[in-house]
Amino acid sequence: MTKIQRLSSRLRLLFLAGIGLVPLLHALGWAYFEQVISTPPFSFSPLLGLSWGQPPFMAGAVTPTMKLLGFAASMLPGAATMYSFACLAGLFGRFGKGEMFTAQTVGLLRRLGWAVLATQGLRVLHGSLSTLILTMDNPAGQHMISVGLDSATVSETVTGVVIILASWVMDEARKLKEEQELVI
Amino acid sequence: MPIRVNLDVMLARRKTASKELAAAIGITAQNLSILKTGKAKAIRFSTLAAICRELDCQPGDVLEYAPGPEPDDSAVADGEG
Repeated sequence: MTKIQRLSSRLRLLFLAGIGLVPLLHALGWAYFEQVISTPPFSFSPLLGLSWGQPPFMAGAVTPTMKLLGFAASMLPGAATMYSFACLAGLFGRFGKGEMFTAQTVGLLRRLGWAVLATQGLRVLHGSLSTLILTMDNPAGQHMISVGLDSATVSETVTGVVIILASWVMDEARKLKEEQELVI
Repeated sequence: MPIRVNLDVMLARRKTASKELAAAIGITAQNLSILKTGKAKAIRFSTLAAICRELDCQPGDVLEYAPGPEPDDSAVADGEG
């Protein structure tokens, strides 16, 4: 139990820090768009909603308005990620206190699963909005919108479903524990 | 719950304190309180036997069947699943 509590307390701090880092990374990604997009191997491109690492054809430079709109669009999945981190921080906080199979931990795990699923849906929307924003100043007929799924989205959707399933299993364990506590 | 626990009646009859009985049968006062207030879902035969031994009574003196609504076990946190 001490091992679980010790590791949980550290993970809680990590996820609390993650809540603050998500908007910061998105803001930096859009503020330094040109550098991010031109640095191989484009590892930060998904942050901007450009899963393929290549920006769409842009007739002009990226304006501050585009960057601001892009940041707002990227905060759609960003906010869902922050909520996932908040659920994880809450979950590990409870694990750290020795709470395992309670209604609260089950609820947090279930909300985490739904948040992971929501993040993936919003990621697809973010990808479309990013291309639309980046081509908004293009001449008529050259505006673009792209819709796409990458392998990370698919695998994380499966992860979300697995987390929800695990929360149902954990709820059964909670019922057993509560029943066991009431057997005298 | 159709099963009623009349432990407090037996304790009064035998002029025994709850703490005293809890110590004698090897359970915590908190668990004895759960049993007395009817919140318990089940009672082990070993606990029942110990109560009967200490209070010099029969299981029927401690437990009573009183028809009533069945307990609701579906205490799910937010209604999903």
